[in-house]
Amino acid sequence: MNKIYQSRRDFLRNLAITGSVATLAASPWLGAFSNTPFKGKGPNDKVRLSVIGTGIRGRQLLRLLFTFASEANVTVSSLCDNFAPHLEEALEICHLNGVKPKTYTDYRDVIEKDKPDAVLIATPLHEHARATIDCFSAGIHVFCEKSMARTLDDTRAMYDAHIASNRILVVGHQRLFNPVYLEGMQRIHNGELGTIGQIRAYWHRNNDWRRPLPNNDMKFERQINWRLYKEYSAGLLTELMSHQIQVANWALQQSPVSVMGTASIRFWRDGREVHDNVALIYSYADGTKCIYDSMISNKKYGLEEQIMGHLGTIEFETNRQYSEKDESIKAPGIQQMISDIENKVFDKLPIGGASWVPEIAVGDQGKKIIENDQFSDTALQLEALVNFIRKGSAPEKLTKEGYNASIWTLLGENAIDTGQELKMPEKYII
Amino acid sequence: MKDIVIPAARIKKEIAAVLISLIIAFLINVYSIIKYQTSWVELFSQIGYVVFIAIIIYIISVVLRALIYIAKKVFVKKL
Ligand SMILES: NC(=O)c1ccc[n+]([C@@H]2O[C@H](COP(=O)([O-])OP(=O)(O)OC[C@H]3O[C@@H](n4cnc5c(N)ncnc54)[C@H](O)[C@@H]3O)[C@@H](O)[C@H]2O)c1
Repeated sequence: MNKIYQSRRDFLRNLAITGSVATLAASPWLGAFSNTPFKGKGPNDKVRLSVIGTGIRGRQLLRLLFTFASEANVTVSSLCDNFAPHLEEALEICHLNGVKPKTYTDYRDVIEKDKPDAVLIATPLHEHARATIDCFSAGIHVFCEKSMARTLDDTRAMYDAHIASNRILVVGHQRLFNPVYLEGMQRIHNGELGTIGQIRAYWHRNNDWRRPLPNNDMKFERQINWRLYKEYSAGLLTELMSHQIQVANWALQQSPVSVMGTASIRFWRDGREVHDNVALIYSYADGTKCIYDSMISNKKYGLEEQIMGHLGTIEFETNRQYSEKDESIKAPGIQQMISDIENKVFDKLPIGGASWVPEIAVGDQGKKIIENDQFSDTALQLEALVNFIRKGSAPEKLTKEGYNASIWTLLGENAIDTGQELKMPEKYII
Repeated sequence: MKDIVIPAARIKKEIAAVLISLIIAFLINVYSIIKYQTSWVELFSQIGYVVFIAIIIYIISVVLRALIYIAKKVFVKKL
């Protein structure tokens, strides 16, 4: 999803050229740039951000921040990581961009000594809740990477702390800021796809999902490959599916009512604890189903969210919309007639009777949802975050999207573990 | 070399046959536009196909008329 970065200004200009501005006006990130008063920080005050967890994602967030930092008057005031090599690499990125942040190995020092306006939390999943709640207690806004937390109770506690402190909580679901999704969702919600019966989503890769250990030293295994161990992660569910269940809920404008699932360690039997092969079905109150699967031993189908209505289909990851009308019949009438006559004259007689026509997939290539798809949705999300900080608040809908996606991801894990169809327990409903 | 003389009546007959072929081809196009629910612009845009079909119809009419002519000759001689 992260593509070449265009600044928000360039992007908006391009949108204006393609005439998409009106449809995107209601989007959360354009809303962030509206002329509502600055209740947080004035436009001339520097917004100070700290990155907690400077691993792969933390450093990616840093790089994207620097693409608009001077234009948006933002700086990185501190970095925090308990693994020295990652902290050094992140510091290097800052130095290359002329910024000299303080460095810490304990996030509590970020809160007490640096006191930034907001933190970007990109630590392993099980570490999200503690840091987020402590930041809220200190009056600091939080951008927390998805999924929100390792347990249902921690997820709820993070949400409650956000409400109690009245501080911003943005969860790292960058698709919420992705113009392809914003435009596609607008069309879905306007009924262009008709009644959505099913959403099919999947994420397939073909690799062991392991990161190399420094000097191949096994003592770093859990620090580096935390996502393979149940104590820290729900594996494919929290790392990949959480994004896609968020998309499904957004498309349907509702949360599921139940989930069932099954999973296995089918291929990568290397001591990992999380499944490498998962399949779940989420049911919604109106009867819609979201059928999900993820595996990491075949990548032919890559990743996709397919929103299937009786009038059309949207495939977000590839930026395409398809109609249920047979748009392949585009040849002029007279040519169709000639070809029909030809077929009648030369085709062999069917063996199994006229009604046996296999239902193969429609070959139609569909149309792009938006023309200009060269952008980084994460950068757009970070730019919006900075504006939310200036305004002192973010749309609650954004936080709720993240919360519900995280809760339903963990309920999916529970459904797999218990072999039961599960509903959302009362205490997690917000 | 001896000049081939085509009588005026013959020419008129052939022009009529060409015109009728064109009209039939045109009507086939109208029919296919209605049947396949395509655009009426095809009345003009598919004119190449119409002419092509008209030529085929004309050729068929020539062959048919020639066959009738030959058949008639053989039949009349026998009588
Ligand atoms: N939104 C997205 O598309 C996206 C993409 C990738 C990762 N992520 C999320 O980002 C988070 C980090 O993923 P990653 O791939 O960068 O993992 P990573 O292992 O590369 O990075 C995590 C970093 O946190 C550090 N850390 C661990 N405990 C810490 C603590 N108590 N205090 C400070 N630092 C600590 C680790 O040393 C490491 O450097 C995860 O929650 C992941 O799901 C989101």
